[in-house]
Amino acid sequence: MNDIPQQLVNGLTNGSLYALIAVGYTVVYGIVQLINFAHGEVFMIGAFGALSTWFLLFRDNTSVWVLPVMIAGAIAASVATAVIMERIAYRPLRHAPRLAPLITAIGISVFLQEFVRLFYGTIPGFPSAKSKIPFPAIDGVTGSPFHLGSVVIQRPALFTMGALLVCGLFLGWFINKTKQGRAMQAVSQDPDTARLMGIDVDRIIVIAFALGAALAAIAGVAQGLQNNNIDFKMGFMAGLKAFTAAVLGGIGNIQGAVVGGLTLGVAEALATVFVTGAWKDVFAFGLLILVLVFRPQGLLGARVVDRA
Amino acid sequence: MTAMLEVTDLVVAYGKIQAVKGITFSVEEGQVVCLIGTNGAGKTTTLRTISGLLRPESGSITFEGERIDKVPAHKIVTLGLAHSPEGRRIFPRMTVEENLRLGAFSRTENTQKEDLEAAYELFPILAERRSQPAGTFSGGEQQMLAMGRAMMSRPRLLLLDEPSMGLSPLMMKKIMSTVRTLRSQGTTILLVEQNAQAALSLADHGYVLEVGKIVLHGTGKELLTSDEVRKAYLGEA
Ligand SMILES: Nc1ncnc2c1ncn2[C@@H]1O[C@H](COP(=O)(O)OP(=O)(O)OP(=O)(O)O)[C@@H](O)[C@H]1O
Ligand SMILES: [Mg+2]
Repeated sequence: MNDIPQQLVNGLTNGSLYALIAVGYTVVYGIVQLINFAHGEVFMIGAFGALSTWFLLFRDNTSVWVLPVMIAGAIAASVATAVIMERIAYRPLRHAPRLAPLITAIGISVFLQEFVRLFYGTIPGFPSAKSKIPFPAIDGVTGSPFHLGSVVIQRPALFTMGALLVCGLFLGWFINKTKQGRAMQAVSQDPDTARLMGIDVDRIIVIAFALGAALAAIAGVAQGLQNNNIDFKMGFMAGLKAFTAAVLGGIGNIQGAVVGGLTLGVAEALATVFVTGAWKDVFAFGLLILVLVFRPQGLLGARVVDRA
Repeated sequence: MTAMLEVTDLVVAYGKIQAVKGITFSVEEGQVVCLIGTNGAGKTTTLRTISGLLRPESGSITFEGERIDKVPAHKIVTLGLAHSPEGRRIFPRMTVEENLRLGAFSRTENTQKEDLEAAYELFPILAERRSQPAGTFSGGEQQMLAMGRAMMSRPRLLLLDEPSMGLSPLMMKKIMSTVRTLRSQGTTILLVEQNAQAALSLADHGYVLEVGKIVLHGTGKELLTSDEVRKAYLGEA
């Protein structure tokens, strides 16, 4: 029982990671009512983008100033992947039956995983991605943990939680204070009327994909720092957990994605205390099923999506 | 002299079913032109096609001399043509002021402050409620907001789809008098109404639409006194 505070910290760390990814599911759903099941791979590509940036520019340099450049590389890779995906795979299916984009998403997912697995190592100077690749340790951001009484706080955990905080504040500002953010809200409330206002809906959809991808990229870096390694499969479980978090909070609701992510992380961690760590995934997806059955609108309700 | 809006042989279909079956009409600058007809006649379909939300199967639409039937909806509003849609369609979870500001989304010049003032002057009740969420409003208030929002783009032509739908007689009077005010301020208006009496008494010109075809047209006065219109739309034997 006395490891509850420790498990809370672990839960909030994992939860922050889920939340960062969940925002991407929810923003896209809020705008086009599409579950982008390839979003987990966008997260994975972010981690590989950061690693590639490091290989290309820094190799062996682990100074802390390298990290922002790696994050920029991660965001560039993820955003490019998401935007291209939207343009060539989802846009042509905008008016197709719902099953079509869903199946497409699964196809893209498999494609991206296999692409990274088979192609990454063929780039000169890059290691094979057929198994785990070590992720660089960054001075100050990885290394010896902090102690708070009996609670151990890993440095990358602070990075992850800090990233969620910064991204959350940025999102709040973007959605509420910028012209494009307001346009985004308008499209999620009533796309046809938004067009009558002069809003280019296609453009807003691209922005939604890009925004979600940027946050997933940061999460990819966070996961690399936490685990010291990345692999082509890392997006699968993280994506499913983040999707669960988005549904938990109310799909389409951005604040819900954050609340859902943190709730899921903490719930899993507590399951580790009271049941056993091996059961935490069972617990997480059991929670998903319960929510879908008893409160399909999620904890905060799918506010951004419903129509008047 | 060509008219401000020219609709020629317009055909619009939903799948295989034609809702508008080859209509031709025009709106002269400075006028209020009304389109009347029973449920399902194709009035809303016509307006949605003009503003670019629907694509015609054939025919053409010209606004101020430019073909607009292939221009996307979000660009048409920048040309000076605004559409206040059927059912108001205000953004329910936004405040009055946020709705109005979205109406100005297409503006490149920053005249938002003056334009807000103008909207509040047109509908003072909106000023009182500027920071309330619009979803809680009555039908009449929502209609005022929808019209104010459309005016925020400074349109030269305003499409109004059934502004009096579901309103009390008093509120309907208010809306119709606003239509007059807007015309006197220089906005041309294409008005769709089921309330033929009210619409025709202020329209310069009217068209009667029946199952996708124009069956009658004339000045507002002519239509008000025409036997067919009196029988079919004004409920007289
Ligand atoms: N989205 C749609 N899909 C299929 N058919 C439609 C659609 N919208 C309208 N229609 C059909 O097209 C025809 C014209 O409809 P429209 O809404 O333009 O009529 P209206 O004159 O505006 O009627 P009302 O006075 O009821 O608003 C009707 O037969 C209607 O059923
Ligand atoms: Mg209609």
